[in-house]
Amino acid sequence: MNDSAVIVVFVCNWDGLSCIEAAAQKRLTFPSSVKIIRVSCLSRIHTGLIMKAFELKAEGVMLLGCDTHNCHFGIEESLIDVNYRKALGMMRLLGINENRLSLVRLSHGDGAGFIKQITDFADQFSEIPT
Amino acid sequence: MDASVRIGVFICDCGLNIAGSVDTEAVTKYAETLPNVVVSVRNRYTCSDPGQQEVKKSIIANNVNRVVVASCTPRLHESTFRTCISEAGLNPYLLEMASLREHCSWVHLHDREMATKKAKDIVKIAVARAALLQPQTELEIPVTDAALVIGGGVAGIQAALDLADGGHQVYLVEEQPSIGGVMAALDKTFPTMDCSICVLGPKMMDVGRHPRIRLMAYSSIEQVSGYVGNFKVKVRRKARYVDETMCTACGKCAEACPVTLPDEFQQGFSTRKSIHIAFPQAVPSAYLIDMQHCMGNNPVACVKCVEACDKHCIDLNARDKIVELEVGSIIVATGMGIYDPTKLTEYGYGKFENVITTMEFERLICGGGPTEGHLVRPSDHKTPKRIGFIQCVGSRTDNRGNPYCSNVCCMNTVKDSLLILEHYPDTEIFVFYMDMRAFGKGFEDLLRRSKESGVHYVRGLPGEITEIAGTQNLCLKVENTTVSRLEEYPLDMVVLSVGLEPKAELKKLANILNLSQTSDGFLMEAHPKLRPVDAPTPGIFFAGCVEAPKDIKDSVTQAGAAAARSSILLNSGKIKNQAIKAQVLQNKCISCGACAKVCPYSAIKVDIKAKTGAQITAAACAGCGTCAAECRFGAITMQHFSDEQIISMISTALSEDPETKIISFLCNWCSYAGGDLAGTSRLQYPPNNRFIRTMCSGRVSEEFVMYAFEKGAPIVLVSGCHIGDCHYISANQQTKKRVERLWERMKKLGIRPERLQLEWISAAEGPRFAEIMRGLEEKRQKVTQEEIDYTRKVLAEQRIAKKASQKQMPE
Amino acid sequence: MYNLDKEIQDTRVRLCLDCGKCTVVCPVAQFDVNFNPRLIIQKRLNSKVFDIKDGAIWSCLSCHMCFERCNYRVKFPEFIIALRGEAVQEGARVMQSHGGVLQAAMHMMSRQELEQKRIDWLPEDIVLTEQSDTRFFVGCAPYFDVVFQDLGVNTLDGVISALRLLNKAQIPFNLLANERCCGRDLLLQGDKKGFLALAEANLHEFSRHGVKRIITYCPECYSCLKLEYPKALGNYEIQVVSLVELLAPLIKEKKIKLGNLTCKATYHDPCTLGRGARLFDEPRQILTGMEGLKLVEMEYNRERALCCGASPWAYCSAVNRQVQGQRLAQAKAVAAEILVTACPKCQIHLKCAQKSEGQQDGQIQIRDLATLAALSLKEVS
Repeated sequence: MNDSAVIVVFVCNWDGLSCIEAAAQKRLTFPSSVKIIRVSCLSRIHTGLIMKAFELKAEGVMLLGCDTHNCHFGIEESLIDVNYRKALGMMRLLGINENRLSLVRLSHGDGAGFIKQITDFADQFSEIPT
Repeated sequence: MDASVRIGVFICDCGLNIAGSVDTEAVTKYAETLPNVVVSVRNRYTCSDPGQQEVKKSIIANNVNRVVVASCTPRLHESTFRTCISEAGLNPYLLEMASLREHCSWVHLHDREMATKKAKDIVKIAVARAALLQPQTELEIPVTDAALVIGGGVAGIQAALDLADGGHQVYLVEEQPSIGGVMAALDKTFPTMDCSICVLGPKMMDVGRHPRIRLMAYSSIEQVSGYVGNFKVKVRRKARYVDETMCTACGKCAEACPVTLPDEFQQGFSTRKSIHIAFPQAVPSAYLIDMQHCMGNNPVACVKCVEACDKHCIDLNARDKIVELEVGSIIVATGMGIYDPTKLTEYGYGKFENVITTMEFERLICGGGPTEGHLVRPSDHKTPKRIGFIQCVGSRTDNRGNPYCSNVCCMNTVKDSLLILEHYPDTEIFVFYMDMRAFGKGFEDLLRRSKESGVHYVRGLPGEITEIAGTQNLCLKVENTTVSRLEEYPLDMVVLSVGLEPKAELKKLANILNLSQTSDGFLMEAHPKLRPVDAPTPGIFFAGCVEAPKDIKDSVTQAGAAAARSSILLNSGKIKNQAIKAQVLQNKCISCGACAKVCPYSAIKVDIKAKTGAQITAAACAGCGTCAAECRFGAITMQHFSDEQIISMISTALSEDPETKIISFLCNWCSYAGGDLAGTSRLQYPPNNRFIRTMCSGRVSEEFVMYAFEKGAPIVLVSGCHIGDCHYISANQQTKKRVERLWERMKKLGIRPERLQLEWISAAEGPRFAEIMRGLEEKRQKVTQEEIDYTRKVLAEQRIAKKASQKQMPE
Repeated sequence: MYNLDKEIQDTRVRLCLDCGKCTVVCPVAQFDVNFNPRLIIQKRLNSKVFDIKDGAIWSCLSCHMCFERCNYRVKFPEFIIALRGEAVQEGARVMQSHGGVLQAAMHMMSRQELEQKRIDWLPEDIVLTEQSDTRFFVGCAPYFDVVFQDLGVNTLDGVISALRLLNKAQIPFNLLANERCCGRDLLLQGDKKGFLALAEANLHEFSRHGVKRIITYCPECYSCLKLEYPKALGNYEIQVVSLVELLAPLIKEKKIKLGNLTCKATYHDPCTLGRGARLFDEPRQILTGMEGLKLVEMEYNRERALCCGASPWAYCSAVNRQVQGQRLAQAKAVAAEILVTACPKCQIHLKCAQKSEGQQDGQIQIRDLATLAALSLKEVS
């Protein structure tokens, strides 16, 4: 497990956070270089925030939120999908490997799912070229 | 040593001014040892009565024929001592003054030994020049007792009347068909609210009637030649096609004329015929034909006017005539042009009918105007109820317009506002301004009256005017800067307070008269404070707006001044020209024309083809010496400040310890005066400098500078007036070119060009002079002996080579 | 970073006559009572009430209309930029629009080690001349199109059209694979450090590829590379030309023939191309080179053109929207079918404004100049 890559995880306060809390309750660990930033809903995360994270030298950015149709606020078409695509477009142009951005949708309380996702995500950074 | 030269040296103590820091006794004793000196006297106050008596006694007792007075600056007492020695029977030009005060004792207060050493040197240099002085006679030239006044506006009229009343013959040349100028077209004048043509009319009549004024209207100046006291002028009298002397201005011809044209006098608001009179009060009171728009000539297609004229004074075959005049002085009073605001598209002048200029407004409100004084607006001839005035149109700007303030527009608008309220008390008037300039007598009162009458003064210049379709009313947008708010003003009419500018044709006249224009395009005066109506060229004066924007009072004042100064010249009957003149040595002159090109006064004529030699008009020569310095063949010398004298001063200055001495060529009017000021201010600087005074920095030839280097000078300074301020108009431009050529030559010869310094120092720059002297000493200390030795060798070799090649030149 | 005394000297603000003409013609002052160019100068120079954190200084559009009319040519936009720089130095935080995504990208672009993939969009038919020392500077069009895809903005189309036109005119050029943002937007929002980083990165690219001449279509890049880079970097000898000044004479002299485009069009002068570079005639010559195109002028055109309300991706507010609304209304007033822009930012901002007005019948089409010219070419060949 790569535990030195600085990864920013934007997580929504509801289903998203529940996965992280579930993992913690089961004492499942993830690298300490992973920084969790909690927001009310992933729709809050616009492209600028994602790119700012990369500007500030994050190696990877994960967007962790609810399963589609499960949004706490009832938002059916989340802006995060558009912003995620825009961010990928920016990264493509900037020459930043697109694998550094990940949009993850998990069901409520899926602690193991979160751990798998974050570990796999972090592990790529020892191999990814730029 | 020329046995016939007997020099008397008079050293002055000047109380303690000189004696306090210089050992004058030692200097006096030293002077006795100098070549050609037969007597050396020390005086306490040489310029005083007993002092002068002593000088005269000494001259007579010792048969002295050249005098050196070593005291204060020549700029102070040269004329005093010239008079003194002439009373002792000597020609006044046989005097040389050495400044031991401003240039020695006062600036080296704390080093008596060095100051005394320098004083001795200064006296030695003066004695060397004195030995070469020659007697000179001042030229007396007769003055033609007549004056030419160019321009018949209020300034020209006033000047002509003053001169004629003073007993002189005056020729008044005016290019328009009538005199009167802009003032004749105004309605009222500020601050008195007098009717303009009412006060001007009688003066115009006086001019027309005056036995000593020959009025030539509808005429222009073709050519002017000559010099002060003796100008020859060619005037073109344009064909009027109407005999001025016979026309009674009955107007029948105009009634009959079929051609209708816009009337320029009424700003195009009404019409005139092809045959017309400029305006009813015109002087001369005669009609004229606008031949460009006449159908009567070539072939004869219409003779209606000829048939209508009872006095038979219309001649369609008239021709321009050239008249030649001889005058002693010329007054230029050609007046002003007016800024055309068409370029300011944001104001819509030319597009929006109800946006007009000041002059157009004057005609609309004037009783003699196209609407007989009923103020109506152009689009629908209705009386405007809301009128806006915009100030500073075309003035105080780098961006489409002129940078200066036009002087009269503020007060003119104030006057206009009161005029409108007089006739139409219910009108709302808004004046949009940046500053209201009410500086003259009665001006602030008038502004107060205007404000008290309810005229709104809004501080801000409008950025945009738009027209409302249909009504053709105007909407004016402005920031009211007093409250920092954007405001819109709906108005019926807007008057643009346009600025004054030089007439476009002024350049042509300036060329004819050889006059300079300032950067604003107006004519340049000899000195802005002390000689405001004199042109730099002697014998020519200015009056009115041709010199700068001004109101009627100032124009009249200036006209009086110009007439007075002109009178001084004409009254004297003859004038003495100072004897510092250029002289051509015809046997050396090859008629190359280089001298004529650089003379600021156009006083030299050279026929390059006929090779008759350069001819200098002595009366026109101002004595700057630029021609002498320019001549590569040594064919011009100055009668006073000859080449020999200057060379002698240089070699004397550098005869001992040359490496310790800096040679500075200073022009008489600015740099030397700056040095005097440094002295009077007691500013201290090192004593290594030796000054050589010339009248103009243009006198300093390349030969002088190279000679100084050849004799071992480590540093040489050439200094003159600031560019644009040269006492001899533009001679210092030649100085600049020469020094630049010298720098190139020095570089090629391997001599460091920094050893030749060029500075422009004005008479007011005392502290700067001292600072430059200190700087020069610092530079001198960095010059090595090897450099000096190398320079002397190289230049000596050059001189030998040049002499050898000259020997081979055909005579 | 900012020597305000020198800026005061260079911008000549002390010469301000306090006349207020600038305020009258300023597009922002029309709508924002708190923005007053004259007052900003007076406050900053002459009174103690000026607070460097004063929000007013962020509203300036740098449109240069004030400079155009000022009696003494006071460089007010440059003075505002200096004030912004001073504010940033004192810790003011710039309110970036669009989430600061463009600024983030610009900052990343200044990294020397960055290797972008920014010319994948290049169509195959565009001819590049490998040995040419002339490069076409693309600008941020590829990035704009990502960020503004929901506006239906296609600034890359303008770039591709520009390249096609250059090919047609047989002007040889190459592209720079690792071109950086010119940095003008960062300069305008007081981030001089960020701007200099980009400038140096670009200069590094130019030097290492032996670039002697740059052709660009974006007027902001043109102004920045031509005027700002020499000031900021010493030793900058690159010649910078605008596409329109290359093409217009060729079209006027009929050396290139454009095709047909029957429509009634009006041309929007970009502030930097028009008032900034004085290129008023050239774009118009290109437009009238298309047969069937009837060119009408809006009420405010050429030197008096109205800004599109663009900001340097910072402090975009209701006032900008009002300015844009005024411009669109002017286009509508002359009954034009097409509003032609020659600047990617004008295109983006006017389209954004149009979108917020909602779908309307007879809404004017906003099209790019080069795109139209290239389109007409297709019909010819």
